[in-house]
Amino acid sequence: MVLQSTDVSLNDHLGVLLGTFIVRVKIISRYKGSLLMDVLIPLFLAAMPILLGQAMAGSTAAASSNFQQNTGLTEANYIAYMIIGANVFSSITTSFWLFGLFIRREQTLGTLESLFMSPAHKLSILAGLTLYVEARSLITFVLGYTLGCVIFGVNPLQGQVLLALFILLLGLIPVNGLSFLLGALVLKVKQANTIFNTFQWPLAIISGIFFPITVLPIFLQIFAFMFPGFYLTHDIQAALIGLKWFFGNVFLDLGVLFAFAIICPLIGYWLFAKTEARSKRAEGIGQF
Amino acid sequence: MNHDRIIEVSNLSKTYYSKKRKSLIKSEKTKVQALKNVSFHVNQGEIFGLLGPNGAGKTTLIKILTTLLLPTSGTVRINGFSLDQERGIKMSIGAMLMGERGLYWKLTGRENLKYFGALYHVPKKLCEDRIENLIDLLELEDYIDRTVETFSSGMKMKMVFARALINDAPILMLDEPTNTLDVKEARRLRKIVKEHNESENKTIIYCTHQMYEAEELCHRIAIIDQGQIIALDDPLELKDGLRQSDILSIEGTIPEEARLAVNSLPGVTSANILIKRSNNGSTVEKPYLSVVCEDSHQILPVIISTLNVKGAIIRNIDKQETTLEDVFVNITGRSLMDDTRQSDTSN
Ligand SMILES: Nc1ncnc2c1ncn2[C@@H]1O[C@H](COP(=O)(O)OP(=O)(O)O)[C@@H](O)[C@H]1O
Ligand SMILES: [Mg+2]
Repeated sequence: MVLQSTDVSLNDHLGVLLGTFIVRVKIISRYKGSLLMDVLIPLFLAAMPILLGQAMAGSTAAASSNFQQNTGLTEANYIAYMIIGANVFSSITTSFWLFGLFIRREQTLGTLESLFMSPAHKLSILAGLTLYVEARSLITFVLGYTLGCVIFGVNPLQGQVLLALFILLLGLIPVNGLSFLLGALVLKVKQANTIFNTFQWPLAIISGIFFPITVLPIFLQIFAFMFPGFYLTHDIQAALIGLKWFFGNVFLDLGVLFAFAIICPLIGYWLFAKTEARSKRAEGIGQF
Repeated sequence: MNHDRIIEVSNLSKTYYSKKRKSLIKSEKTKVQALKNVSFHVNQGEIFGLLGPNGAGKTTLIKILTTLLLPTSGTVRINGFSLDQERGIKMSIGAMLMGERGLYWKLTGRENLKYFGALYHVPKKLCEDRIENLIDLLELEDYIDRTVETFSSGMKMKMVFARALINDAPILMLDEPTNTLDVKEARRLRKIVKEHNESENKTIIYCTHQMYEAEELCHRIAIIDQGQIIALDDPLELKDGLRQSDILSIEGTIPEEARLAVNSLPGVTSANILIKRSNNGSTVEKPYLSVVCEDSHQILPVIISTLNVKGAIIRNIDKQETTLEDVFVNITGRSLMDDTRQSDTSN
């Protein structure tokens, strides 16, 4: 009995994409508290620089005015700046680790081999995962930002909110793409936790979440300029609280994010596919 | 090419290279030859057994056939597809390996099956029907809608089996599918495998280290040991090789010297110490001497006196039916129950 055809229709691909999305949503909904943490942690994260700023400057007003000299931002927007930074960073983290953690978890469950044994195209699965992390980030950003603004007494609706959300979704795509690189790294070095602990804080620094990037030493600035998470953070701050667009106007900034959104997933997927092929030649992808 | 041969494997070899830590800084590359020049074919509609002890290379072979692993050399053809036509092979196979692993713990049984249905591009409605059939077939109704984390080993095993059937593939590959099942459940699963083969005309590769499973189920059996197929035939033929011989099992305290003496008696084919496992509540392991000989009536007195002279204490002597275990022991001098995993061969 030879199969009639091994062609896969668009519908089949969509089935995999949607199936993966639904499975991820169901799983996260059964980890009660993990979404709540996504909303609450940025609040604590933002509280630290906000309070530190007041302590150093003597008052909120003094902190704002000092901050203004570095950023051109006015009034209490130094608070909003921190709240945005913390929430965007939370989304960047989720996206950046997404695929590495996914590989790791599926390895320990044994589902990675089940996935690779199935004829589903890896890109359909990855698209489902990306859709999931975008939806999750959108929801937690809206909740986290609103909650932060309410608690610290800032108006959340002062800027171009829809533009900011669009930037969030666009800017997370390249970060997701970079997460394929981490997936490859997890397949190769099998030390997921070490990798994550090593990358986490440098990532926060070069994303420029709590300070303008210009205060960094030049070599760190160079890393920041190569990291899409930096532009993502900056552009959301620009859209919401009037920070200057990095390249002078909104279209150039969006164009750069868009270019990253194409290049990063391609590079990431290419490297992952290479690593996968190598481990298939060696000991198999399920080994860890 | 013969069209009845749904699977053809030629000169398949697989070598694993792994690093072994010697100390903090030093590590050493070790090499394990898991498969050595394995060739065989499986006919359409047949249950083909791969029988061999732990570490024989069964799982490695299945991983190559399911495209999870690439061989070091050799070729494979499955359902008309070669290894570089991955999608064709994947669509042709339903597989169960790694025991009860490979399920999402936070999903219910049904949600797991639905997702894997989607991964195999099974249309939604058809998938739902199949799930209902599988629930009946495998008696899953009591727990199919509970999350997998609440399942017992046996339940998970049955879910993994159900997952292997969800795409209704022409070929089923089962790697030790009864491992964590109790005796009754294992018997039931074997019955289902047999029915699946008979009524649906599915081709099945069945890996096991339990000789009675292979004997009960398989049309043909490849006995695999240390990466090589050492015998391949139908179970009767395999045993026929030993049919003219008798097999004695001698319990007692038997020194190695005594075994060697018996082993070299004229008329004795082989004499090996094996372990008998009996399970009544807790597992009891009893060593015994298994003697393959030409005519036990004639030679038994000689064996007994040889054992006595060499200081053995005999407690019981039985004459046994020939089993596949005896076939294995006769060729390799070891028991199927032995663990033959190689940590290192050469470096
Ligand atoms: N990923 C791996 N790396 C190194 N050696 C391995 C790996 N997987 C299996 N082996 C070795 O290959 C041999 C065959 O193993 P396996 O195929 O699992 O046998 P079986 O399934 O018959 O028990 C064993 O010696 C085992 O230790
Ligand atoms: Mg095995």
